[in-house]
Amino acid sequence: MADDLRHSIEDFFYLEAELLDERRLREWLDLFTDDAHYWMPVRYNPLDRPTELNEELSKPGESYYFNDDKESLRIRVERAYAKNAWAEMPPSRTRHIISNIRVKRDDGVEIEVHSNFMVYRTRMEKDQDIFVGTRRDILRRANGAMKIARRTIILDQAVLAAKNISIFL
Amino acid sequence: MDIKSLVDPEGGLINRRIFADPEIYALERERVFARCWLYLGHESEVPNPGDFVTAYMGEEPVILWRDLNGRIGAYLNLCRHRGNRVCRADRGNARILTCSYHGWSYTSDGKLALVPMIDAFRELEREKWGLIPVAQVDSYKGLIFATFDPEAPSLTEYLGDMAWYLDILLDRREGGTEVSGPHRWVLDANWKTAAENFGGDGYHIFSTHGSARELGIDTTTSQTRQWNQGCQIACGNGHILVSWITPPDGGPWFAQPDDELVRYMKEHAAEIESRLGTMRARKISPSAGTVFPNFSIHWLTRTIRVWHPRGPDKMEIWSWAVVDKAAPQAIKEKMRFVSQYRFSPSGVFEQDDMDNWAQVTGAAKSLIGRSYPANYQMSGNEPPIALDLPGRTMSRFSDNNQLNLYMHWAKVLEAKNWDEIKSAAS
Repeated sequence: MADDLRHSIEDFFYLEAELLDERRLREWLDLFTDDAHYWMPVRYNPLDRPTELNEELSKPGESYYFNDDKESLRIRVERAYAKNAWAEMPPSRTRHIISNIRVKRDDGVEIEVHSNFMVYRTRMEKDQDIFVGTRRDILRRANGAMKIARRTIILDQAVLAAKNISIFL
Repeated sequence: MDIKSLVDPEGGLINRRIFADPEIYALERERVFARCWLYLGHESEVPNPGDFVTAYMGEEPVILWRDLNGRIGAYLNLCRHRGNRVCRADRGNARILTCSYHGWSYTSDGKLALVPMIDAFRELEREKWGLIPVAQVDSYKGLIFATFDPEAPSLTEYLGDMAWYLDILLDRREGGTEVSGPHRWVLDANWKTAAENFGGDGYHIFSTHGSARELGIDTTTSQTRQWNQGCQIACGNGHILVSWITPPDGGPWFAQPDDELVRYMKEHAAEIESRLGTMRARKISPSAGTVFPNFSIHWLTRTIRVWHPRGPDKMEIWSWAVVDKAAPQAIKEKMRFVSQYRFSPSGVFEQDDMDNWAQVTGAAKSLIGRSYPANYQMSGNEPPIALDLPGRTMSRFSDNNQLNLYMHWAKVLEAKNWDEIKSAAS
């Protein structure tokens, strides 16, 4: 049972990665619930060794890379299809590698899943970035399908070693 | 090197070398970044005794530390012993910071407090071996600036007329502002490409940022765009900004890029006007500007940022969102969202700026390309609406501000001391 669940989550994340890497972003957006929240905090170096990883992350009320609902996410997606959204013109070539999938909680409706990501981006002649971190997702079952209700993206870098994040993680 | 020859204000030409030349950059480190007032942080980042953040002044790592008496000091983040960094955290609270290498410890006022095995040293005079203080530290309405040069004029004198415009972001409400951040990221571009862009480039909005505006995300209202009146302002000392001029029935809400923020500004219009006066509350609404050399502001989207140089062709960008301290929590959240959704590494405006600046820097490295000057000949097609404003007011879509910045930059690079900088004030 647990293996089946993890297997179906894996399939779901692989499909998601495929949509992102093939730039089918409107289809990707459909994977989110209407009340979805897409959150990516900023990371800081602490003075003392934190008891919890969360202490290194910006909290609500502080800064963030993303704090989107589905509408603000939709505008980002639509921008990617515009011919004059220069950060993605020419578009990034990405490869989303998702692994270490851990099911943390399952109440029958919502599943909390943590996974690791490594996203390689190359663009134009030889721009290269590697984004590495963890996703903490709340997936929701609806009408036999799975959707992303909440995504938290925790990047391992403190100073972002890229000129922008014009792709989705 | 004849710096002045690189900037030709009459011809409207800039020699591209200034964006990538290692020799020029070495001179900038010495004459610009070791001499001018540089932005370090906001008072709200270090509210309590012992609070610190680590920051940079140019390429120099600095600790901004509020001591136990509440006084804010800035010190090189460098142990006096061998030079190891005293602090490896980005922020925190400490009465004492201890160097990891041999354990020298410093108190929050920068004094050397403890040296392990001090008896083994030859008469170590502890009072002479405190953290290296930054020569002058001062703040303007929450913004903390510092300079390595003890001869630099006061911060008030340095900011000059620019302070009057900074108030429009910093002093709208009782209690001033607080910041969240910073965002920190890197870009392969010369720091001046960003400083000049924020300081006057209303021209690039249409091409660079068209896609965001077509999807309804802007840095102001469509009403403001239709009214379409504004000006460039050069405040002297290399400080420059662009401002909207609001219509007669406008107010402090006029150019706000979000309906909720418009309502908030309308609600508090009386307070804003009593603090800022009629001109700053009702007649103008600055959009973007640069405090020389590398501190920029976008008033309407409430972002402040530093373009830290990292060599002639690289920078590290640090940016913060600024909100009114007196605003309700939900409004603060909205302000932060409006700010970071547009300006941050993921910002739908800022993303699109990055390649432009990187490629302008690339052109300066092109052997053939750099033998052709860059064009700064836009002189404006209309004089701005006449308003009695501090500084020199010029046509909005022009290169006047940018040339003003580079003339000041050239002067600072050539001047041997502050008297020379001041004697030929721009």
